[in-house]
Order: sequence, then structure tokens, then C-alpha cells
Amino acid sequence: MAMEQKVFTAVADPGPLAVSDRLRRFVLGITTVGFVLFLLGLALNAQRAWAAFLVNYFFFLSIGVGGIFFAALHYVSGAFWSTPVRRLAEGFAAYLPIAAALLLALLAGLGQLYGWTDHDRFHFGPSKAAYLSTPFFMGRLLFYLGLWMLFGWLIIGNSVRQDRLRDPELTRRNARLSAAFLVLFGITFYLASVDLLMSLEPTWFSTMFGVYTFAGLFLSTMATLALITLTVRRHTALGEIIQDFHVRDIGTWLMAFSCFMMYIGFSQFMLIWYANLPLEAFFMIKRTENGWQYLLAALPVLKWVLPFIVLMPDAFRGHPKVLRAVAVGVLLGQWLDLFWIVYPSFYEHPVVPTWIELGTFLGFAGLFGLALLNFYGRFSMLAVGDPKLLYSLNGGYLK
Amino acid sequence: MGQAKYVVGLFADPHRFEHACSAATERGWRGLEAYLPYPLHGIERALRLRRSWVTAATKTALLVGASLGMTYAIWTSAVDYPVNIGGKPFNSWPAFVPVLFESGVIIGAFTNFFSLLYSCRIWPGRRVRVIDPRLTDDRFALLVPLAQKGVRQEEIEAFLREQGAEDIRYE
Repeated sequence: MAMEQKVFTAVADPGPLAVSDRLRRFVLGITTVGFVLFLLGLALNAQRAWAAFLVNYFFFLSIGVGGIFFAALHYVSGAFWSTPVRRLAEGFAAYLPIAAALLLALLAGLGQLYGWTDHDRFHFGPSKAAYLSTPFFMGRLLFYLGLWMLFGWLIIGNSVRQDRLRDPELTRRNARLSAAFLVLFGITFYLASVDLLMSLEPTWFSTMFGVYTFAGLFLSTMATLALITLTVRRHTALGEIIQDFHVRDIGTWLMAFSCFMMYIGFSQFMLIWYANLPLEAFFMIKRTENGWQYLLAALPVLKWVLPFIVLMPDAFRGHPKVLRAVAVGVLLGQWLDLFWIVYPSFYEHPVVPTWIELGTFLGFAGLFGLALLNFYGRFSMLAVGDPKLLYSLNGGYLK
Repeated sequence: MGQAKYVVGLFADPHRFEHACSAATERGWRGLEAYLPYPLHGIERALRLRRSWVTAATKTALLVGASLGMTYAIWTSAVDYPVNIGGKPFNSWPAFVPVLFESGVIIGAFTNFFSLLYSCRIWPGRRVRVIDPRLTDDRFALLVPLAQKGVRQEEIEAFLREQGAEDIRYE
């Protein structure tokens, strides 16, 4: 309850983002450069290019679904703090149709990535062989994506309709939809990460794996939301609307979920290390030897120590420069984490990410950016019709 | 009443009370105390209170507790009574991390709890003289020390009334 706090009695609709042609051309340029580099990589070293594709695919897929998850979570819990930034997070979901299209592109790389596509290499029982077959694999992944898009379309559709209708009933309807989505999301995201990442080593299993990827999803979604909120606050009318304490709340969540990430990551590692069953341990052995252990050591630093220690003081949590630096570090950590999961399946010794990985990242980042610009350019940047908005803007939930 | 140290203003409206707090500190008055029926966000900043030592005590206890836990785990498993478990080295740090974490949390939490009670002067058998019983219900009290440099008692009283205090006491 800072004394100089602004009091809102009404909020002017900031409207959609005015996307300049220059910005759109720039993002389009990044995308083109990225995919040219990816295709070049494909010609020179197909397996490595597909591995880079998978890392970036999962990285951005997590953030895309994470946007719906963020909105759904706050609808279900009836949270007030997130209302002014909810629309920004909802925009992440606009990437999902692109992710569905890119999944079809991944079909071309399945043979390079997944050992189970070669039937002579593994001798699975009939049910596992049926589960790990290309048609079922692609079919269910498309089904998961379809399910997420359906719920995204319903929830975000209601949210956007509320801008115009100002009907509080839409919030209640979204709370019910969100509850159903959260349950389905928990199951399907777990299974999707088993398919996309765990099946790289088809004989390995860890019951914690889906929780581990979910922790990464939440952390990277919060970091992306922090970066986008800080950027739009600087450049658009939202700077007058989103308050310092909303930014501080994003920082608090980033800090809180860095602990969750560390907890899950260590639990998975420690139990496999302790039991030392050959069937489980080989995965960690591959990833803690021949230099990969140095990359592993960097993960808790970027994903836990950095956000936890730096964001501990109240003043740093909402400090734009500090929060931005931490968010970038967390995203780098998440990217390296996926790199650490995927690459040791193909490389005994660590490889340094080069233009193949960077180019593929640029391509994906460009597509994600285009989807975001498209969404922000079409719908209001703020959930102006949400009945909780004014209370949130006045910091009512702090008192 | 001979040894009054504070002028007490009793407020009914939390907003006017907060305003009185920041107005008093803006006048340069220090050593203010406040009694509230429920927490008001940011009141510690309005009163310019220093950060309490409870945080530092908790942090220290947490670090001490965590290192004690780690020392205990290493000493029992690797020094005093080494047992070969699954062929792992006696001194296997990943296995000790849960001990480190839990002992840090429990010692930190207890220190936090008891140092909070101590810093609030709450312990069994302590009798508290309540300025006004309504302070546990819907009234807010701002205590201004009488020993302010160059400020007369009447001035403080007038200030509190002007800020909306409905009652003035001496404590």
C-alpha cells in the first residue's frame, strides 16, 4: 500500500498492439534465416539438425501450452494478481497451431531421432511395440495438441469475448472449463513429454519425468511472461496500467517455481542414483560422464540458484533490469536442460551448440514471435472486461 | 500517569491512521509505535521501522542447521560407523542432501518461531497492559514518544487530533 499509488476507477481499453511493419519484417527475417540455417544443417548433418529441432520444438511447445495453463490456473484459483497480465500469457497459445504443423515436419526426422523406429534394434513386447509405432505416436501427439488447442480456443475465446460483453458469467464458465483442462493437461503433457523426450531412450523410464518437464514448462512460461510484461510496459499504454507490484508478483512466482524445479530435478536424479538399477541408471550415467557432468552442473545454477538468491530481496523481484536478466538466465537454463536430455542420446562427448542449434532456435523463436504478434495485434492487450481487473489494478489483493 | 512516555492517538479509520503514520514520520518524528488489530500492508514503511532481526536470526539458524545436519550425516555414515551401501562411497553427498535440507528447515523454522515470540515479548506468564481493549477489534493506535526534540506535548496532541484521532491517551 504505497502512499503514491494510483487509484483506478475505470480502465481505458489499450486495444490491440500496433505492430509496425518493420517489427513484423524483422521477425519474419529471423524466421527465414533460422530455417535456412536449419535446412543447411539438415543437408550437412541430418541427425544433429533434427536433435536441434527437437530441443527447440519442446522448448517452445512448453511455453505455448504454458500460456493456457497459466490462464486456466488463475481462472480456477480465482486469483486477482494475474488478471492484468493474463491476456499476455494467453497469447502464447497462438503458437500451438504452428506447433501442430511442425509436428508433421518432425515426422520426417523420426527415423533420425528415435531408435524405436528401427524394429530390429529393440525387441519389445507386443503392447510396447504397438505403443511405440509411428502411426500411434504421431496420432496421439496430434490428439494432445488438438485437445490443448480446443481448450485454448474455448477458454481464450471466452476471455476475449468478455472484453466486449463484460459478462461475469464468462469468468465462471471459464473456471469450469479450466478445471477440466488442468486435469487433462496434467495427463497429456506428461504423456507428450514421455513420447517426445523419454522415448529417445526407449528402454529407460522415470515416473518423475513428466513432472520434471512440467516444472520446466512452468518456469519457462513465467520467465517468458516476465520478459514480455517488462517489454510491453516500456513500449505500450500498458505501462500505465500494469503496476510495479504485478511485476513483483511475476518475480515471486519465478522464484517460487525455481525451488519446485530444483526439488523435482534433484528427486529424479537422487532416486535413480541411489537405487542404481542398470535399467534406470544408464540414462544418468550417459549424462554425467565424458564432460556432460559440467553441463549438468550448470542447470541448478541457472534454474535455481540464480532466481532464488537474486530474487530473494523484495526490491530485486520487481526490478526490471534484474528480473529481465534472471528471466533470460532461466530460459537459457531451460534450453540447456532440454539440450542435456536430448543430445547425449546421440553424442558420447558434449558438443558445443553452433549455428545449427542457434539457427534452429532463431527459426522457432521467429515463428513464436509471429504467432504472438498476430495474437496481440488482433485482440486487446488487456482483459478489460474481467470483473477482477479493477480490484487487481488497485492492489486490492495486497491489503 | 506520572511517567507517561507516549502520546497515544486512537483511530477508527485505517486510511486516516496510515496517513497519520506517514505524516508523523515526514515531520521527522522517530521512535513511533503502532498497535493494530490486523496487519496493514506497508505500515512498516510508513513508520520507517528498521527491518527486524528475526530474518537474520532465521537465515543464520538455517545455515547452521543445514551444516550440522550434513556434518552429522557424514560423521555417522563415513567416519564413526561406515557401512557399505550398494558399493557407493561412504561419503556420498547426494544421499545426504535430504538430511541437509530437513535439518536446515526444522532448525530454521523453530528459530524463526521462537525469535518472533521473543522479539514481540510474548512468553508464558507475561502480563500485557492493553491500552484499549478495542485495539484487538477495530481501533488503531499510534504512539508518539513525548521525548521528541523541540516538540511540545500539546503540539503532538494537536497533530493527532488534526489527523483524525478520536481519542488521546497517555501511556
